[in-house]
Amino acid sequence: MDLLRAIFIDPFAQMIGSPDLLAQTIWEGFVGGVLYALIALGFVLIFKASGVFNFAQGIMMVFAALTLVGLHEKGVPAWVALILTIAVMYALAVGIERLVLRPLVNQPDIILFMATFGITYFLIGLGELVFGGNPKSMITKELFLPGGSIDLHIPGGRVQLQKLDIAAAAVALIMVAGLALFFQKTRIGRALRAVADDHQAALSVGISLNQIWVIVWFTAGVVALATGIFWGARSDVSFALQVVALKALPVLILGGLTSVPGAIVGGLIIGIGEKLGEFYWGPLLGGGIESWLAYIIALAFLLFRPQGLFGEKIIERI
Amino acid sequence: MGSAREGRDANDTFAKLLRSHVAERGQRPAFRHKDFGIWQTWTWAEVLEQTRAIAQGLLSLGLDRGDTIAVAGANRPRLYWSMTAAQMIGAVPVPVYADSVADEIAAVLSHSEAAVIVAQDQEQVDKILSVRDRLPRLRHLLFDEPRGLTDYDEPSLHALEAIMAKGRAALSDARLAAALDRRIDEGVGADPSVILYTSGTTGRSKGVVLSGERAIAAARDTVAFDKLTDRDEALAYLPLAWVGDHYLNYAQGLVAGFCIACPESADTAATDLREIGPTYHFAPPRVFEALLTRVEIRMEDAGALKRWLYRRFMAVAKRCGEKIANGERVPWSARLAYRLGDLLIYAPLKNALGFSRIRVAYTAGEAIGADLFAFYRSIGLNLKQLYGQTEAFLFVTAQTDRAVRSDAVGPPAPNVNLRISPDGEVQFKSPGMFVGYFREADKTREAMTDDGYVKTGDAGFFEPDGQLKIVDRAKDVGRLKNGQMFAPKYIENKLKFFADIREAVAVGDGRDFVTAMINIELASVGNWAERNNVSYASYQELAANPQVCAMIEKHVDAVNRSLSEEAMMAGAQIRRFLILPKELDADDGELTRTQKVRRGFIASRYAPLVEGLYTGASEASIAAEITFEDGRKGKLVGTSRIVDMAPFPRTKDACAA
Amino acid sequence: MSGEILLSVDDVSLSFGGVRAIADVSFDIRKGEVRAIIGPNGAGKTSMLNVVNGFYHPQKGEITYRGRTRARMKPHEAAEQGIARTFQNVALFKGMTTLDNIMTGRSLRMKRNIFWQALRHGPALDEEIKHRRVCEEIIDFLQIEHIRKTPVGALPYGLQKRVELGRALAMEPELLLLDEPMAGMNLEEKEDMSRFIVEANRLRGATIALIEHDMGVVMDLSDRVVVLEYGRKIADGVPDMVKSDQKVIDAYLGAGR
Repeated sequence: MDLLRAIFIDPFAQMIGSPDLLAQTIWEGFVGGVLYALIALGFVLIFKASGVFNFAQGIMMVFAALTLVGLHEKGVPAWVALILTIAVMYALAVGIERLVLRPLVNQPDIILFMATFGITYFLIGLGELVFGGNPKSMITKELFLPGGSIDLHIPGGRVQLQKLDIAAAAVALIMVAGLALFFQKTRIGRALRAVADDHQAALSVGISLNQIWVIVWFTAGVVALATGIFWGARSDVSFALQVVALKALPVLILGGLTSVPGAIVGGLIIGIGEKLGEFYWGPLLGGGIESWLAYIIALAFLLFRPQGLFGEKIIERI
Repeated sequence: MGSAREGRDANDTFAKLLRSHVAERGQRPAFRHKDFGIWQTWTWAEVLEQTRAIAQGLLSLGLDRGDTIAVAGANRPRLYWSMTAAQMIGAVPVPVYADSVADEIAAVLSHSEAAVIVAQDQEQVDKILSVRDRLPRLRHLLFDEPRGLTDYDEPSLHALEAIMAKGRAALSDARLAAALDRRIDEGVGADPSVILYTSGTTGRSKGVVLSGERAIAAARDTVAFDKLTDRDEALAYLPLAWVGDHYLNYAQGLVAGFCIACPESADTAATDLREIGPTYHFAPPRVFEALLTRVEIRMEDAGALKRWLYRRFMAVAKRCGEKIANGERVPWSARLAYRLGDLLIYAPLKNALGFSRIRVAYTAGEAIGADLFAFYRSIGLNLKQLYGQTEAFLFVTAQTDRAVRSDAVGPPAPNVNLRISPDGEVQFKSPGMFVGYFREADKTREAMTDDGYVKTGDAGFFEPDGQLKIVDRAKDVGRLKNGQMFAPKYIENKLKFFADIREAVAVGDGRDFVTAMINIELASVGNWAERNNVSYASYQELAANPQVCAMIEKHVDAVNRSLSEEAMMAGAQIRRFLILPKELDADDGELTRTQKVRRGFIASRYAPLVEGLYTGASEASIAAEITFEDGRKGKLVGTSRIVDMAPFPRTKDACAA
Repeated sequence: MSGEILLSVDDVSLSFGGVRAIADVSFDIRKGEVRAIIGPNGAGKTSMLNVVNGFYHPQKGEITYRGRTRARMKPHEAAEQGIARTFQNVALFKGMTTLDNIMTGRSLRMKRNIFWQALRHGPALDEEIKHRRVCEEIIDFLQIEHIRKTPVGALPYGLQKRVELGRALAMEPELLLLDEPMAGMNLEEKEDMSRFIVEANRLRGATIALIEHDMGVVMDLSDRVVVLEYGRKIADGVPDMVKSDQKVIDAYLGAGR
């Protein structure tokens, strides 16, 4: 009886009792969710355009952040380092298209999936070789990212918002809006949607798959860089960070592999659900549930809506 | 015709009116047309320039005062301008229904003795060329859209564009420009302004001649009646040749100076309506009905929350929407609920239908169902009824903003004298009334009373509040063998108010009892079939389905109940009915171009079915060779089940009568 | 019919695994003509189109287009050279609107500056307007104004076929490959489609290679007909000649009855 009470009554009583704590928890979950969404977005973009489930997305995030910080450590000014990192991500996209995708075109999906494992280990090796394996801290100040926090007064108390988190949310929002606009309104965007829709037809109107692949991988790389900067700023920049990328998996289960809105909404659900679970129900289980709760949320959701949030039916392609 | 001299002023022709708009509002938009996906706009000044170019071009082709110029096609700015251009040079425009088959066009063109025809496109040109040998007076054929016409080898065929260029070049000569202005000045209001051919519900179509001053006088009255100004905007999507379009768009537009928008094509009219958002609108009841059917089908497919909101707030609208529209007292709680409903449902719905900005909307042409009418009124659309005729230049009666009802058509329009003859026929004298039928003086005499009233041929009576109620065509009102009055249209309309019934034909004159033949509405019955897993491949299959038949039987029963409650009609309940195995179609001559049933024609084509209705058989078959209007031959084969109905007893009121 | 040769296929053979789809086929297409490719099902007609536009690479034989003999050409390179096509089972971008589908046909004609594209400003915007105009003319030509903003996945089959033709026409192709443009259409739709094909050929100057099963249509529309059976060419010539060829009657018309 007590256990039921502790599960079904107490947490909600707590939420209502101190709305400021609730708001604080939701905010933190929201920021985490936004970053999960960005990672998932990278997966979705690549999957849509090339049918490849990109296992390396998490590592691309770390690699991008590492390159940025590493270049700065070697004495390159922050903004030059940023531009150089973007250039590196472009070179990476071109390299992957030339050396991995092009030779493997028309191979079964599983081969391409395995190839992304290769990319993962290649990037880990390359990163350690060039920049060393020690954890580094993100160059937030040099990138003019704000520090400190602001207090927001709400009925029932106050919520503390880290300025960095606000910036993360804002950047994520701008990126998503920018991408949406790009895909809806430009020729490249139209070509990209065409490729995602029907490869053969896209080829017949003269859309070059190779060009589209470079663009998509590069875009995913830039998204990875943005994610890496903010995750890096919250903890350290090291290869341990790639486990964060695993959080994208439940997001994808929830949102579907091909749905951009799915990735965003799924990311927010996982982010907020995970924080609420940890804060209100975590103590019951002795804490530490954050690492697996996301999967439980996703699986529970699938029980009721097997086709995922926005219902596209391509899940069997994994 | 003494009234023709009254109220004469400087702008007694449409050509002069156009000129006056340039002086008063030259830079205001006058016409719009969506072309290549973009709305093109012409100001009044530009319209005058274009129209003058056409007029001068027509002169260069040798046209002169008194000639007739036919115009065939959809609503296109240049076709409207061609009409004004004809009026400028003193010629008489004759708009022709764009969907007429070649024979119909030939009939109108040869009767009106048209010297020139302005056709919209290849389709119209092809039709005219196919009957060219029957039109010795036709000198030139102009076309607006050159597509597909470039390699036609026909010396009398010209691009309107080229004729306009010629006209423009000529007008750069100041003397010619002045001569054209003089020509416009010389035109007088008593000249024929336009010839509108009636749609031919009753026999061959006749050319109704209207004069400029009368047309303008009538339009002025109604523009003032509905307070239309140059800020209004209308979508011109009705057939050019129909009096409704010529009145509501052409005449009222040129009098009030409002902007007329022409849709991209007939298929896009609904989208264009949404994009333009007219403030003044007309649609026949069947269009409103089709829209409502579409809304309801979409609501069936919508999510649960949306559906619930829709049902919830449509109930609110039904309870108090009309009262609020009519300015009656309504409790504040209901007002609040209505406001909320407006925010959540009515406004978005009106927006989706393109009705957001409408100030005044009219419907006419046939009876409108009470529920249908109430639906639009209750969501805040100022929908009213009018009763009109080509011979009146449309308005005979019109409802005022605050006294609107669905079962009557309103009091006489401004300056209209209206009376009911002793034998029940509606007769009128109006400011816009016609001058006569073109080249048919005897028919003109037949249509008028000795004291100058126009006989409408409609049977009707005045309601206590002064609104006119139309029962049927006077000549269609018949009697059963026992002397009971039989008004077929009245019964058919009651049937057609059910969304499942598209058309109905009532039979009974000179018979023992009333029977009906029914066309089901494919959109709504088909949707019902889909939802109930009834599979069907064609109209015919669906019409023969016993479940569909049972559904229609319920509707017929409801009609009988309502008839039993009316003193005059209780004896004319439907005793037997069947569902027609074929959809009635204007292309097959079963409906008129304005979609009215041709009762006599249908009765003879479907004679074996009618026979079955009166022999007591439980089903009837038809197998006949029929010739369609365009000369094709086809087979009409089908079997219909015949259903017997039990009549309701007369209610007490009815017994007293 | 004395136009220069636009495309010639010489001794082409194509097989998948052990199965021969095309065996030593040669024929040519002259500039400005409507060339029909007919034959019973499985005769290798679609494979032939796939070879021409670079989806398949033949194991043997040569293809000469505009006087240049090519080794391996990729589909998007074929498109760049002015070869457009439609597909037997309609390959449209189902999630996109009619207008967007047709706009993809302009892909190659737009400049490639991604940065202007991204900003959607300046030259890119002017360019977009210019190409939109071309697409609107095609929409007008095919009379599909009413479905301009409808996602094509929701359209009936006949209209989808029309949109697909529109997308191919938007490429302003020199050679247009049509794979059964009238399959599954009713009489009226076929008449419309025939008219569009004739006008695309006469007014828009596209040379057309056409696979079609409706013999009436083929005989009406085409200048010359090549007949395939089991991957081999069995006849080639003007419609009247092909119609009376005994081999064709046996193989194709006989089999079709």
